[in-house]
Amino acid sequence: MAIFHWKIQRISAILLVPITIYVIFYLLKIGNLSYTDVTNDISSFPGIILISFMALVLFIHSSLGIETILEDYIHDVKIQSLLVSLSKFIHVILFLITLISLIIIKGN
Amino acid sequence: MAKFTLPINSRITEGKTFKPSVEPKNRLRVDIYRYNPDLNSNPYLDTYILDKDKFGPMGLDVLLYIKNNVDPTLAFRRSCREGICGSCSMNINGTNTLACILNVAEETHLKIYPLPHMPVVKDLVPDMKDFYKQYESIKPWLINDSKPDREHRQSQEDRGKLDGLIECVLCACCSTSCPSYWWNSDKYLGPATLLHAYRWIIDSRDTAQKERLSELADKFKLFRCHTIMNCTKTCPKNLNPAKAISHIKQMLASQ
Repeated sequence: MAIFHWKIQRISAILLVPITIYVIFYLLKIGNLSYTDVTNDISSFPGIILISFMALVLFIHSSLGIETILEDYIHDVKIQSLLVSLSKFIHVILFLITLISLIIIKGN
Repeated sequence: MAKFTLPINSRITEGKTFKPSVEPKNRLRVDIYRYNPDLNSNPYLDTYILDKDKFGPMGLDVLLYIKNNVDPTLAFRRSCREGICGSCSMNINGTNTLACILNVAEETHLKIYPLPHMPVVKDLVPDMKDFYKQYESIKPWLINDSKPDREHRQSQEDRGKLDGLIECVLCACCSTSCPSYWWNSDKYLGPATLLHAYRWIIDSRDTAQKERLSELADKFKLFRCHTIMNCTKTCPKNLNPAKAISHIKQMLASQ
């Protein structure tokens, strides 16, 4: 399990590099685009795939990272497992919010 | 929670200053952490003003001079005075090192503390009990049930793989410089022990590689290493425990 955690943390970090670079370049030119251009880009098929994939990888990476930090600093086993579960729950909620937002933008 | 401040009874107070009657020409100021469990008081920082012309160039020469000529109550471990026994590990000017192989001839001010984040027995003597227990836990001996007529043979190439590992003298400079080891020294094995674990994992004569690896596949024992690399930076023998640990992780990941 520990090896799996370590592997996924690294794989997700590597996957995030190209996605983040793409998003940065997109945000740099966002000033020249109209509101409709942006919502159209987001609700296009590649847009939905990219954002869902990015949210999935990002929240998995973040969840694993926060779990590591909690294991490092919280020594009480009960409080530690409680906070780890809470962190995982929040990450799932954040991912669901992303998906719901995509559906709302697509619906408009 | 991890503790970020020292407990009240560990806070360092001011100690005595030992000065020679005549101001030395070649002056060296040495501040040393002192703790005496019999005094039932907080640790304190003693200051010694010394004449550099009276002793040799190494950190241990300074300490031996103080113990023999200025203050015989000072306690520290030492034995070989040539970086082989690993006894005189301590923190000098902010870096863990072996006092006997540290040249301090050019220094004018030394601050000497025991190894960080270890229980202190007296002055510069830390309690190494848990450190040795962790070392014992990785079975630091050859596991091979075959009984050859002569010694277990090894090719020069396989023997070469052990270079940079067998030189470790278990002085604990690396482990006690690691923040991750400070927070979780009860569960994380630490760089010194993991370097030795790797030394046995890659020994061609050892037959328990799989068992040794699976023993380490634990989120605390091995994976508390976050590649901070203080271990490699501080090692007085210029070894690379961080590299050994990353090799163990790679071996586990590619299994």
